[in-house]
Amino acid sequence: MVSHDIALRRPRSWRVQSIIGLLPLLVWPNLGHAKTDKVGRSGRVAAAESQPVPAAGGLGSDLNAVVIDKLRGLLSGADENVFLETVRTLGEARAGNAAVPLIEVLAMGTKPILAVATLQALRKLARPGSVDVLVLYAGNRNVDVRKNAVEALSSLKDPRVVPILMARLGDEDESVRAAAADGLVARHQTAASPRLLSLLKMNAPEAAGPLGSLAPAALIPELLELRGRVGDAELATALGAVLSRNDIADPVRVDVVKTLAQIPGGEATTALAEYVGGTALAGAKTSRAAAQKALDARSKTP
Amino acid sequence: MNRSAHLLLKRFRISTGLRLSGVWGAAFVGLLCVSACAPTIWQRAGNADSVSAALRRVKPSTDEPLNASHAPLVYLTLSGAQAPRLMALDLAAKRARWAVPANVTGRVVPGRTMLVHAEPGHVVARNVDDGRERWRFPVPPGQTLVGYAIDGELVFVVFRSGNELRGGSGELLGLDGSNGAIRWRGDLGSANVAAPVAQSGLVAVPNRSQFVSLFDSQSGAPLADVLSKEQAADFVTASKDGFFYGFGSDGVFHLSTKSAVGVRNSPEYFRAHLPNFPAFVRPNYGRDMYRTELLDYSALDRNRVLWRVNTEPEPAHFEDDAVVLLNYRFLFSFEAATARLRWAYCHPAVEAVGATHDVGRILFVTADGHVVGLDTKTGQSIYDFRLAGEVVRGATFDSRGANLPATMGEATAGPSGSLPEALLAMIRDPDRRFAEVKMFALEEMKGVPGREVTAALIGLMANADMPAQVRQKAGQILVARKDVASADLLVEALRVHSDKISGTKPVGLISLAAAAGSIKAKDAVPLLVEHLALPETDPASAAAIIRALATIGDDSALPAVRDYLAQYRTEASRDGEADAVMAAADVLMASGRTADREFLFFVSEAPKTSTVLRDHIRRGAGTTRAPAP
Repeated sequence: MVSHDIALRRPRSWRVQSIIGLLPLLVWPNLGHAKTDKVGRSGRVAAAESQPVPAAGGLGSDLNAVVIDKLRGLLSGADENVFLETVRTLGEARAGNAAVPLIEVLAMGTKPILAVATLQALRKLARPGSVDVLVLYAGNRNVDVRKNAVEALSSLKDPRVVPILMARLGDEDESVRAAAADGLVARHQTAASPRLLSLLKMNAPEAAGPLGSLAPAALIPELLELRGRVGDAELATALGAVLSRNDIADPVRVDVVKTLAQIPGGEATTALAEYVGGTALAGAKTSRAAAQKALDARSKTP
Repeated sequence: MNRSAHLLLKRFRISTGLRLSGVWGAAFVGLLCVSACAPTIWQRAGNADSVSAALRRVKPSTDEPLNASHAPLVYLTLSGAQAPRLMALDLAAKRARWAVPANVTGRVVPGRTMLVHAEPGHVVARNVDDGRERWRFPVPPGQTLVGYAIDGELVFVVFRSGNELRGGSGELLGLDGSNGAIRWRGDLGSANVAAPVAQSGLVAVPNRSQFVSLFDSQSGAPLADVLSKEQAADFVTASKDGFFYGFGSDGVFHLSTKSAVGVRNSPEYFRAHLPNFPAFVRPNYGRDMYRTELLDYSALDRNRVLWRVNTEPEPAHFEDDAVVLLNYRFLFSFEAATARLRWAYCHPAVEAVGATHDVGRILFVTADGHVVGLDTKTGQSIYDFRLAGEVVRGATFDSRGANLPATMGEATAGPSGSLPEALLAMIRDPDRRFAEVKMFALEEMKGVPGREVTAALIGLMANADMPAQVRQKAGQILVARKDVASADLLVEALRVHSDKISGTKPVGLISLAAAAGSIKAKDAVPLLVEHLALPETDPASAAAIIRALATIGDDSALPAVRDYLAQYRTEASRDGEADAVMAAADVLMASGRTADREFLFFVSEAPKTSTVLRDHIRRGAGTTRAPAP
């Protein structure tokens, strides 16, 4: 659950009318750096603030309490343009606690269109502390909100993310499924392969590429047998993704190429051409030759 | 001058202003005397003495088939690919006794050695033994055949012509059963006459809507007239216990001296008190015998009340104090006085075309020739015979009280186990025509205990093949049953989430949540909280979940309610959402916690909160209890 405490204690007099005055502080947070006032921060939002910030991200120092409160004022106002501008700026900020006002916005709720912008900003920030609120919004009824929450979740390393992505792989909306599948590919979650295969059997195009990227070698023969049972374009996309991997033995690649050669249409040709034209993988000589041969045969076909 | 003639003359003077004197006056008085001395049906009707005298002539009857061999028979009117036929089926021997070509257009009336039925333009008599046509009596030109009856070796036929209000007439004929010759004929004095019924020396004919006239079967002499005072009398029937008359859609009088004037508060009046009489069943105790179109078998035979009144032991009563409602493929036995459902029966696939309430059993025939007997006390199948390859259009039973071979060792007719099983069979029945029956069966399930019922209701809610109203009703009954012992089944059902890959979808979430709330199922709380956070949970389901969580009263659910309110507070103006977020606000208001009140304060003040929700919180703020420290 998400804490709603911080905004409740927000003094209204701190509201400001524009983000412009705060820009220098956001870009160079040290300018306004002061000891962070933790009074009034509790629950998971406070916990989010206290999450260690990875140094590798090139993050700057935290924004001071005054700036944070002014940002809260901008985000809680009625002017949506100001809101969007502030959120966008926060998304670009380097400060370690730049996500805090955004997390608060989502914790207290806002309009779907504004929630989408907030989630996009959080995705850019990729702060570990945002996981709770992102999990919550990954279950939002609004498709755009949900999709952006899933995308933002995908950028986090938290172990709680995988079950959410696996669940959203069964979402009713294609774009949400696609976001979840991409997230699982980014994490190289091979455990998602059976579900992706089931989706491909339903001719779900969003599953094709991710399945090709994740399917363990043992699953590839089953993938090849799908020819004629699923759409040519979907299967060609999946097999093209298989060929782009470097963990597949060449005899298997040859089988993949042979199957691609039998699939009509532009997607299969593209997959073969990309394989032939791509960086040569070690030990893939036979399969590349087979792919070239298949391309040549295609070029001769009227 | 007798008193009534004097009164008539006085009334005539008053109404016309004429003063008659001399010869004209004497002649007029004489005319009045004649008219006053010959009693009309209006004057005769309801005379208990004459009714008593007529009934004394009735010979005792017994519960046995009317036919001379006393074999249990059913006469079946057959149609289908073959030419129309009439068949006598021996229920004891389980074989057809005979089948003859016959274009039956009026129902079969069974007798001792013969049966009669109508064919186009004729009344036809046949031998019971071999079905051979004995004679046929033509319907006279300009006349309408109203009905016919048999008593011993006599056949009685009622014809009518013209209009009741324009000088029409009705006639009762007594025919010789051996050759169809007219033995006697009697004027019924009106065209408003119904079909006759005969038994033990009496012929009963409903007429003029409110009377049942009794005639001597041998001579045709009028004996008595019964007056149905409070309602029309549109049917009459006979059994071992005598004659019964009544208004088909209301109830039945046992014809006796006590019911010579039929009033509803008579002890001889029988009517099942079914306040919740299922709307799909016609409360029809007997067919309207004035309506000539009902002389033939019709849908009325498939949807009616099956009843039998026993006069012994006194007082007279419905057999087993129950009536059975037949609705095509479904039968229900109700206690006549309390309307309690005793048993139910669901026949698979094919509907009954004819049925009878025999002694201690219900017998019915389906359109595909399946003859089934059910015990009236339990609804258990006690007789079963299938006549292969026939299409049955109508049936008349002559099986009263006869022994029938038991069902033992044969295929059962259909599900006739316990009441829940039978009701479930009705509910699960794939025939979509009978949604009302399903709804009724569901309503009856409310009072039936047991986990299997709860499981079945949950299954029904999840069955996409069921009509939406049935699934909705199943949910309502699930909530109403408050089956605490089956909480685990609710929890199990709540585990189902929407997943495109596995093809699962939560169904009846509103009802499941409400049912869990109604029994305060704490184990359901985590699952309800999960559903509240899922995208497929629509606002209506969310509202039900939030209310259920409030009813269960588990504070661990409050953070989820807060999250829900936060996420959707700006969307309360959308259809259905207002209810859910207001429910969430109510729960937080009622929690009495400071944090919740502060959160609600924020929500009510925040500019993006929908007006509906803001107003709701502000209205409710003054009515909540003081916050807990």
